[in-house]
Amino acid sequence: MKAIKITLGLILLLIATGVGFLYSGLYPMGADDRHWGVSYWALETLRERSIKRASENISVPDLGDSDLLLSGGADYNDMCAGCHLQPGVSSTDLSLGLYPAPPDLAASADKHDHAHPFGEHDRDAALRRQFWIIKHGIKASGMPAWGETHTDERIWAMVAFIQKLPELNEMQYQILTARGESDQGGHH
Amino acid sequence: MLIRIVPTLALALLFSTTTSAHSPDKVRKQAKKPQCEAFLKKPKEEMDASDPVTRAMMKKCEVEQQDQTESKGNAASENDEHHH
Repeated sequence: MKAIKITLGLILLLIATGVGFLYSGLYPMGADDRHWGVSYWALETLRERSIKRASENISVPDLGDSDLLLSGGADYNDMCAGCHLQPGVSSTDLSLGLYPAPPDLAASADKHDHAHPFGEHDRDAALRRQFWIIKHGIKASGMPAWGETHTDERIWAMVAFIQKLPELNEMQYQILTARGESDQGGHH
Repeated sequence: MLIRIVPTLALALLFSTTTSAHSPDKVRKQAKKPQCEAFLKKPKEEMDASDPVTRAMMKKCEVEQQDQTESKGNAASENDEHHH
């Protein structure tokens, strides 16, 4: 009986401490104040496990059609390049200021400074993961849920373009992503 | 250590709703023309037609060339009308 009382007391104390911490304002909320390593690991693990579970039943379409590179490229340039960069651009105000830092998708996978702990060597899992992240976004990271305003087909086109992005030079990127006068981007 | 992790996770979830998505219309940049000159000057035999990137570039640049031809034609016919 005494042990139960002590356990309950400790649990209440822990809850009270947690709530007190929330209201204390002591937590450093600034994006320029980095997480501790253990906090970063906990958040990254939470994120990757969640995405893996949520995306595992998504079926991957054929992404070999070159037309996908044109529609996906233009959307990438409009919506993603500001944070996730492009050939010839190594940083932007957004890529430097956001925390966690958005991955440089113009760099090859082995040069990314973030982990792909689940499915790194499984191409379909990587494609599902990218599709899910673009569609649903990531909480408290600055990554929007583009599925609110874009069809699945359009998001898959972006996924197809991202697969080719690390191989592109600046000229190829410019041509693939330019919308031109006849394409204003709203009619996919 | 737990005191640091639990509030971090709790705050990440609690404040997550304040992250606002960017409207695609707001972030859409001014349309830029594809700069196809250097690409079109390359000898055809140097291009790999089986490469999806090359095929997509050829398609984009062909459309761009057609657009340019049409707009030049339209401009010429407008000029003709003004002269008459």
